[in-house]
Amino acid sequence: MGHVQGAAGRADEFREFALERASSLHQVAYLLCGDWHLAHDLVQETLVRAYRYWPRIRQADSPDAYVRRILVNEVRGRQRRRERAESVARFTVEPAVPDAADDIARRDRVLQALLELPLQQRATVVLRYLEGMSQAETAELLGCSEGTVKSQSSRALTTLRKYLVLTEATI
Amino acid sequence: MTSPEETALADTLRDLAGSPPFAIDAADVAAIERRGRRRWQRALALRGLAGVAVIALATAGAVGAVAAHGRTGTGGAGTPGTTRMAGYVRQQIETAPSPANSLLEVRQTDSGAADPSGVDTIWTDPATGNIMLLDGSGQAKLAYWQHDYYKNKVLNEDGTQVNYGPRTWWTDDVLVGGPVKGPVPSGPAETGYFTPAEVKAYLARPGWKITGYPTVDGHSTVEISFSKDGLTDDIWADARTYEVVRTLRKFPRLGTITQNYYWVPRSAAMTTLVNHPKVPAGFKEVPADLRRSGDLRHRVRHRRLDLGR
Repeated sequence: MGHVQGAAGRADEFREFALERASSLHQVAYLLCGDWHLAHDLVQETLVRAYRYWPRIRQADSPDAYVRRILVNEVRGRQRRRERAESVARFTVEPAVPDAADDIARRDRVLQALLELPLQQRATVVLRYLEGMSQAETAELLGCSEGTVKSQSSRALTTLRKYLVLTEATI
Repeated sequence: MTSPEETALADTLRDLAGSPPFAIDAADVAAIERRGRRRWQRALALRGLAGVAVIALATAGAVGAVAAHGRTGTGGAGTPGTTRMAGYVRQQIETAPSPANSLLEVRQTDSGAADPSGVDTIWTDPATGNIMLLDGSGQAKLAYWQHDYYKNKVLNEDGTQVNYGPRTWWTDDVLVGGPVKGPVPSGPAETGYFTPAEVKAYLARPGWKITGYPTVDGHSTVEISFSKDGLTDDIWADARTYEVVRTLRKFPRLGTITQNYYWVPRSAAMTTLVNHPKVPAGFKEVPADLRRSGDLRHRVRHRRLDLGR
């Protein structure tokens, strides 16, 4: 009986985690792939994997970081396997369409600039500036050194600045 | 870029990612759980029998001990007899001969849809954990090698697949799950069978019963079974040497997987064959076909079942 109750408890934990974290995962996924629907798909796949490994994840120091890593790995894996080449592997996006609202146009250009970055740099930017992760946390999640995070972040920001200057946008 | 610019970037990213807002509901989570359960069951169907083998070997040892004392009972774990059995098994495992001079050869059939092509032959080098699978013949022949390793505490599966029909090959290196907690395990990343410590952990679980003493492949064996929720494991182990002879896993909907076990001498040729992928001359490298590479990857996985769950 205790086993059953334990399993039910774990299931409840997973549901709570999924409901609470799906939005945040979707934000990361969207900025990594640039496609709203694909981001939805990535989140679902990530949560399916998380469900499968939940007994291990729930015991991790940071289940959040663990699941975010699954998400980043999923994006990496899809890019590497060239699955859905048009929307994921090459991360091509529609040219930014001028909008009556300057703000929307500016955001489009930022997104386009972001999607021009190599995946590792893009992931670094998203984790550091969207998720507010420290260099150490980002390094652990991406499986690299803090020095690499620092250099990747610096390169990314330099590229973004150049791109946005060329397109007359600012961040 | 100055700090105010970084702050502005963070604000812009939040605007970009948060509009329109995204959320899932309980029905979405239920669908995710269903997908997760299906995938988990499918993986179990293809992964676990090699691990079950060692438990069988261990339990068979216990059976031998029980028989030597003139008992023929079928007591499950949790009874006084079982406590004694587990202790004996632990001792047998710790004194069991090392497979260092052998390779494990498994011939596997799957009645389910996962492997409709017939018999797979899967070799595992216990020294390296490397695995090679051969499936089919002629135009349908496939060869697959897998090397598991840890990088930055994350388990990676490095696979090489040769497709004899289209004369193509590919490599496919995938990350499996997230980082392990604590130090990375020493030795092969995935050995394909239980370690003694893992077996000890499983021995504490109830549910296994002795169901017969048949002769299998010329071996006098003891048959033990585990059954729960429509899932049945049968294991036949040599009653004298405790080596596993055959395992069978029956799923309520996914069919039956049978594995026959053979420990073969470690020759130089076999060691090279298992540990070094070989692509025939003239074959063309192509991007990995995810579905097909995933299928073989599942077939060779010898990860352990969560027995007695």
